[in-house]
Amino acid sequence: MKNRLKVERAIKDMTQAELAQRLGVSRQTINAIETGKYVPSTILALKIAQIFEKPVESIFFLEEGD
Amino acid sequence: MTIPPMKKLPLLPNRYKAIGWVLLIPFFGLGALKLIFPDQMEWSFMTYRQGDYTFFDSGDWLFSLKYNNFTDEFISLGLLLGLSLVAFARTRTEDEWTTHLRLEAMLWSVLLNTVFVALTIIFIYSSLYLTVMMINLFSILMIFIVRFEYLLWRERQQLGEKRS
Repeated sequence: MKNRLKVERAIKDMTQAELAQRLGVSRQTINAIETGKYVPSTILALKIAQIFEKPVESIFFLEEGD
Repeated sequence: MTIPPMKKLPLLPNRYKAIGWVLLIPFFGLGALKLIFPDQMEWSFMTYRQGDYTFFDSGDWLFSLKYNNFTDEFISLGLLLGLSLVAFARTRTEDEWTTHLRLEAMLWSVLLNTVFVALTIIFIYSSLYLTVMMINLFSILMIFIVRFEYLLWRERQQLGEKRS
């Protein structure tokens, strides 16, 4: 799975730490998602979408092989 | 807005981790000493004896025990408690990613430990086998702690690099 989290964060001018704090997760978690190491739970993905006021599918995408 | 931890693992509060390390370090040292010098590490005040029973006719059960030196029991339980507190206390930022790393480290340690036991069975015999089996009582948790702490350290490292 790919994601545009880093881009969305840049648009909102939000640091990893700020996003992490709003989501109630650690900064490592945000970093792991952005670097593609970790696929977040559906709940976390929905919360992220809520913060960026966009549908989940415009932030997270399936890639070939998923 | 905070996310309630999903599928919460039954973990201890974070402060138990520090207590765990305080127990683990001395008991690890004592355990190593007990393995290297088994006869010297029999503290006399830990001996329980009925009449003139000895190690060889000591009885098999706690409640039928005629003779025992409890040094090894004391060290084993202390070590086990220290290891458990460190292994099963929440990290300061326990969330779904840490939980993922935790479970990965646990799987890794069970696998590695199984290989370790198999190699012990194949290559080691006689009383040395029993010694290695004693280590094995603690090795799953030990390998887990090393692996999990390494993963957390690697995460922190990567984040540090990112910032600079």
